[in-house]
Amino acid sequence: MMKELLEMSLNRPAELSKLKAQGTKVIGYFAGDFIPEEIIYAAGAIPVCLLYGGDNRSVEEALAYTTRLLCPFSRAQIGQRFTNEQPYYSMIDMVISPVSCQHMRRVGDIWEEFSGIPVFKVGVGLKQNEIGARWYAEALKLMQDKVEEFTGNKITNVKMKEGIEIYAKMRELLKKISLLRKRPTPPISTADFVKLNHLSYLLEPEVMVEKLKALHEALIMKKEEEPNNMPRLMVVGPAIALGDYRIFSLIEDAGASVVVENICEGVRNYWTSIAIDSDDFLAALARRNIIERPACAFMRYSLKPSLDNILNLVKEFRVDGIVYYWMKYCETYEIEGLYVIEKLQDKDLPIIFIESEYIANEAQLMKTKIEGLIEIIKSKKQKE
Amino acid sequence: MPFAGVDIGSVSAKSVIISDNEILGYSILPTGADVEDVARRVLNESLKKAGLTESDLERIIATGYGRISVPFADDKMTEISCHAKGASWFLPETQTVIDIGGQDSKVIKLGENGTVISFVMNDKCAAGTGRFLEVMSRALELSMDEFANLSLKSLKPCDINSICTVFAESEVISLRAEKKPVQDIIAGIHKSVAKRILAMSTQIGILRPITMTGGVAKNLGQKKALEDTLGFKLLTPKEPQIVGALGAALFA
Repeated sequence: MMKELLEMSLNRPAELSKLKAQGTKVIGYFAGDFIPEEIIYAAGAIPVCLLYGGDNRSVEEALAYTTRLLCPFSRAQIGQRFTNEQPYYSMIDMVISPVSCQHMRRVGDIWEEFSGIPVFKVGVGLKQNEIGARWYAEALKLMQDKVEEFTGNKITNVKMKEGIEIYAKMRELLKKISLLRKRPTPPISTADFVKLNHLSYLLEPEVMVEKLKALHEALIMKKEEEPNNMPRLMVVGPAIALGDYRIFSLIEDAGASVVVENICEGVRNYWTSIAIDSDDFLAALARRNIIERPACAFMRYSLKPSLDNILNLVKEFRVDGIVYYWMKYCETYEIEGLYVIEKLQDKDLPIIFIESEYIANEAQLMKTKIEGLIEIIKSKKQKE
Repeated sequence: MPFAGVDIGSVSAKSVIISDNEILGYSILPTGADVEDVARRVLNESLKKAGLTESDLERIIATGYGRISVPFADDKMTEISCHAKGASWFLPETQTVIDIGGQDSKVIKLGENGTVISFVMNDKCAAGTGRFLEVMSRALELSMDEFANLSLKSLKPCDINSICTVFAESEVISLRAEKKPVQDIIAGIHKSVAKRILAMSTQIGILRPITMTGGVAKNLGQKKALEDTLGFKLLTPKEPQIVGALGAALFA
């Protein structure tokens, strides 16, 4: 299944080129779950999330346009436009950028200066309450107007509902698949689960839903394997880019299994569903994206809610240890990481902090830290 | 039963032979470029001192950054677990280990019997490591021994504020140009490493007694700077450089 989806993703740019030739608009947007694909979909355009990363070339390339102090994930979103390695970055007709963290908002600013295509920015409320949601819903209204104007298509209630429903189905299936990892031996690795998320940002939603449904059925039919007794780890952090899978392979090679992730950018918020009780679709999207999602570290009052969320996942997925996978220069997640490490000291839950700037020689130190973490977990289990 | 631990660090390779909880022999060699070769040589040298041959060994465990390049080892462990184990062998009362090695430094919090509860390691750059001190001693054209001992003569350490090795080096050169006494500059360098370790250790909290391990523990100037910065006396094992290799041998 993964192979089939990967092949489809390779053919997707050619497919999009054809659709573009027929007049369909392809609209790019940046990760973090603040730009609702539903709105782009409802306008008859094709949403494409720009979230490649993991290689150092695009990160370095971005230095021609910005400083080193942007996180590597954000810098990759700038560099990719100029390295022409991924076709999506050059084929989009317009890009929508969230004004979320300090880094992501700069990406929008820089694209505005250099990309030569229209850039639209969506303000993101920082408070996870009704006021924050209302403010963000206003921004979504402006985005809707802009998308309508750009595509020349009016967004009807019928189309909007269709969009919301298809993406809700996709999230629901991702959640169902995610929960299967609670099993003693997860039937799907977290690396594959994250890849599914990434592909779901690029492929046609109807196709993705169909494939996820089949995958879910196949996974529940899969016979439960004998417990493998490998340490169960959780990866927490600001971003996992499409292509940045090194952390997973290092953990797997060291003999542990990642059973759940808690990531702000690059993995959909599939935990919460959307409640539609009126025709105010934007309000419903705003509630989901601002109030009901797990807090992102740049939001106000995120420390305690994030810690609670982590502890809840630890319990649900029976996590033995945490790998805090930090993007270098991401100040909000650094502060949060230090807070989490401090709070876990008396919880008997080992945690390591790993920083990445997408550089090859970082792997050596990452490996030592991961193996050290696994040794702590194993010696604890031996004692029990 | 004799066991061996081989610790391949970025600067030096160490090997320890133990039997019945006693050290029979050890050896320390510069790592050089050929890791596999030095691993073999350092093991042979320690075996010779112990009066044994490789066939007498029950098991060999490799540790250190070069642990994957020791083909004759039966298993490998990280230097984190090994330093904890080795430090509590030398000094069983140890609650925290501060290891400053050639290319990284770590603070390790210990549980019972030298097990690890948590640890922090500095990330990839040379700040707070033996490498940092090496670069600085070269900038001042002093041998490592001269560098370490001069530091103890300082009454008024300079402030070195840059964490980055490259910037700190140019700070040192400017301090020289300002004709600051060399012992104060060196003491300042040691203080800056100590501050870096303090910042790391606050992440997991420090419990006393603290034992300092790794090659840099032999540098008394650095040890004093750490003690001044942390506000506690530090313990040092008789031979701090072999703590990792000893830990590996104890795990074997």
